[in-house]
Amino acid sequence: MNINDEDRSGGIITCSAEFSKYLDKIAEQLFQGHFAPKREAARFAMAIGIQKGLREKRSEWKKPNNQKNATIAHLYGQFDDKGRFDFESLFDILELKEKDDDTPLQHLISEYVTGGMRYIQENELDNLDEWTRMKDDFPHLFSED
Amino acid sequence: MRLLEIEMTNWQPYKGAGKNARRISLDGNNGEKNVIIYGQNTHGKTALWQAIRFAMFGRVLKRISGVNGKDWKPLVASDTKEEPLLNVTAHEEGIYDFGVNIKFEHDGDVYELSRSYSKKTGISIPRRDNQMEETFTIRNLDNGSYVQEKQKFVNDLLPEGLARFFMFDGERLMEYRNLFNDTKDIHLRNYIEAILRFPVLTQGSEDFEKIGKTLKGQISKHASKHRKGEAAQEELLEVESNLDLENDILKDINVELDDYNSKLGVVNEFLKKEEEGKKLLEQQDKFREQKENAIIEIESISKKMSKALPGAWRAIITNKIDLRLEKLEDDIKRQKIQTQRQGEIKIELGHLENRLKGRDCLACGTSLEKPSADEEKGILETMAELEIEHEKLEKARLDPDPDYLYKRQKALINIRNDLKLDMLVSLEEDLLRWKTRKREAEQNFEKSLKNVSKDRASKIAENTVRQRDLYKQIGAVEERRSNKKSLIKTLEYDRDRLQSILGSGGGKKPTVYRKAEIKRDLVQELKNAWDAVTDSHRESQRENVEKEATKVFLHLSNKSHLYKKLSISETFQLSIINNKGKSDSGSPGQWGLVAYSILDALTTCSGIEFPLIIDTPGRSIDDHHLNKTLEYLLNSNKQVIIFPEGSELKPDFGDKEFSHLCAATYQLSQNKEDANMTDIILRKSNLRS
Repeated sequence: MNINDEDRSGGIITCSAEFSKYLDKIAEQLFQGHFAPKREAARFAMAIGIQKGLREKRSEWKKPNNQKNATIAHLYGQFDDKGRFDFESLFDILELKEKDDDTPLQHLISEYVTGGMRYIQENELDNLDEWTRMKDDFPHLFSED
Repeated sequence: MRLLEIEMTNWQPYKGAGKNARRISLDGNNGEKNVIIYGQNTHGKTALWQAIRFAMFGRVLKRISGVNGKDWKPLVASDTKEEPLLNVTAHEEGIYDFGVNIKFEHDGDVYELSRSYSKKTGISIPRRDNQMEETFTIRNLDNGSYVQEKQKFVNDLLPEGLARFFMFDGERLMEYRNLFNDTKDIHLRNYIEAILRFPVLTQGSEDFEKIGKTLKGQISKHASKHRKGEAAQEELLEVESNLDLENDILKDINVELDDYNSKLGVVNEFLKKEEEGKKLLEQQDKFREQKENAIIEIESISKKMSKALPGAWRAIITNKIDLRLEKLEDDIKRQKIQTQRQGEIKIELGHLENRLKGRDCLACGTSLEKPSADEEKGILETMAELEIEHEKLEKARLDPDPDYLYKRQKALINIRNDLKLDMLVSLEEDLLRWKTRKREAEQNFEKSLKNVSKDRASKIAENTVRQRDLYKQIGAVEERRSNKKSLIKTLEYDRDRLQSILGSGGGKKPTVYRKAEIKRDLVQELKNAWDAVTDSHRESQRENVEKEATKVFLHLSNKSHLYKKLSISETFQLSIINNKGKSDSGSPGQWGLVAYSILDALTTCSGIEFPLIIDTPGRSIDDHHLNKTLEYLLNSNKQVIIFPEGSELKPDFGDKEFSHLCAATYQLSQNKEDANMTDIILRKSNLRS
C-alpha cells in the first residue's frame, strides 16, 4: 500500500515506518490486555503528541529501507470507534492545524501519532519503570500529593 | 513280655492245687530266661505248652485241628470222652477248680495273670462247659493294682490270631512251610499280614474310608439345606468370586507398591548421602523459584499497569480539552445571554409600539394612553436604539454558530476523562522492587551453580526428580489401593449381607457344615497318607522278613554254600534261591529250616515281644539242624521255651549243650502212682534263689 492507496481509502491511520516495530512493542508492553492493543497504543501516542504539540508531518517521516509505514487502522471508523470519539471536532477545537492546512484528518492524526511515538521512545515510556517521568510531563494525570 | 513262672492247678495231667500246684520257673539268676522241658510223648509237654495259651486266651485248640483249626478242648470231662482241661482224677475226686497262673515281666513291671474255672453255684458235678464259671485277673505285682481291661491287655501283648507264630508245634512245622508255598491260601496272607501288622494298616485305611463316608453323608445333608436360596447363593458366589479377584489385584498392587517403595528407598539413600549437595540444589531451586516468582509478579504488575493505560490517552489531553471547554461554555453562555437580551428588547419594542398606538399592553397588562408628540418622539428614538441593539446582538449570537459550539462541546465532553494514574506510581514501585528481587535471585542462582559440579548436580537432580516421580507413583498406587480396599469392603459388605439373607440354612456354611468338610478333607488326606505308608510299609516289611529269614536260613543250613537267599514274593510265596539265581526245590530238612527261619523272621519283624514256645522242635529236621537251630534260638534275644521229645534231644546232651543258656531245664515224667498225672522235675537250675 502506498500513500495514494491510503488517500483513496479515506481513512487509514498510520505512523511513520520509523516506528513500525516500536509501535508493536509499545502495544505489547503497555496494552497487552486490550483487544486492539496497537490502536490503543496509537491513541496513546496521539494524545501525547497533542498534549506536547508534537506533530510530525508525513513529509518529514523517515522511511528506513524495506520498511513500510505501520498501519494502525484500515478505516478511520476503526480508530474512532465508529464515531464514538469525534476526532474532527477535537482537532478543530484544539486548533491542531493551521487555517491554511488542508491535511486530511486521518493524516493529521497519523502525524500526531508519529510525534507522540517519538516522545515515547525518547522518554522510554515503553519501560514501565520509567513511568514516574510521566508525573513531570503530565502532572494532571496524577493527584496532587 | 518275658515269662517268669507258670503255675498249673489241676491242669490236664498236672494235678494239684495250692502248694501242690505244678510250677515252672523261668527267672534265671543272671537274667537267663530260656527253659528246656524234656518229656516223652504223652507225658504232658503239650499240656504245659497249652497252659500258657490257656492263660492268655482262655481256650485251647485240640491238637488234631492243625494250625487253622477251631476246635477247642472242653473245660471238663463229658460223655464224649474228649480230653478235658480239668484234670480227670481231680474231677473224679470232686475237685472242680482248675486254672493256670503265669507271672511275667512287661515294660519293667511284673504281672500275675490268673485264669481259672470253677463250677457254677448250684451245679453239683459239672459235665458241660457252661456249668463252669471263669475267674480271670491280671495284677501288677509292683504296685498291687489290677488291670481292668484284662483281655485287651493280653491281646495287646499278643493277639490270639498271632499266637500260632510264637507258640508252634514242631510236628506241624511243615504246615507252616506249606502255607508259604500255597499262594492261593487266603489264610497265608492273612496270617502273614497279621503278624506284620498289615491289618492294622488296612483296617486303618478302611476306618478312614468309613469315617469319610459318614462325613460325606453329613455333608450331603448340610448341602441339601445349604442349597436353599439359590439365587442369593449364585449372587453370593459371584460376589465371592469378585472378592477373590479384587483381593488378587490388591495383592498385585501391594507388590507394585513394595517395588516402588524399594526403589524409593534406594533413591532416598542416595539423596541422604547427598544431603549437602541436595541443600545446594534446593537453594538453586529456591533462587530459580524466586526468580520465576519475580517474573510472574513483574508480569502481573505489568498487566495491571497496562490495564490502567487504555483510556489514558483521553486523560492526557483532558486538561487541554477542559481549557477549550471553558471557552466554549463561555461562548455558549454569552450567546444565551444575548438571546435573552434579544427577547427582552423584543418585549420592550412591543410595549413601546402599543404605547404609540394607545393600545393596552398585552405583555404587562396595563392600559396605555396615547403619548404626546414629545413623548412619541422619545419613544421612537428609544425604539430605534433598541432595534440597533437587537441587530447587534443577533450578529454576536450566531458567531460562532451555536450548533457548531454544541457539537464541539459534546465531542470534547465525550473524549475528556478524569482518569488519574496514581496507581501506576505505586505499581511502578512494586515493579522496581520485584525487578530488584529478580536480579538478586538471578545473581544468587548464578553463584549457587558454581557450588555444585554439573555431574553431581545432574545426579542429584535426576534422583530428586526420580524421588518426586516415585512419590507421585506411590501416591497414585496408594490411591488405587485405597479404592481397591474400598471396593473390597463393599464386596465384603455385599457378601455379609447375602450370607445374612441366606442365613444358616443356605448361605454361609454353618460351622458344623464347614467342620464336616474340613474333617472330610482331613480324613481323605490321612487316608491317602495312610495308604501310601501301608504300601511302603508292606514292601519294607516284606524286604525285612526276606532279609532276616535269609540270614537265619543261611546260618542254620548245612548247605548254605549252595544257596543265595530265601525269596519272598509280593504275595509272600516263598522259595529258596540257589547260587545260580534259580529257585531250588530243597530237601524236607532244608524246608524245615526255612520254616524256622521264616517264623523267626516274622516274629522278629513283627516287633512283638513274646516268648517263642516250641513243642517237639526236632520233628521236621534232623539232629544236626535241630542242634544248630536250638543253639541259634537260645542265643537270640528272644525268650525261648522248648519242649523236646526224648528222641529229639536227649536230656543229658541237651543240658550239657544248652543248659548254660537257660534259666533251668526240666524233665516231665509220669507219676508213679497215677499214670494220668505228670511230675515236673528240675534238672539244671540257674534260677534266682
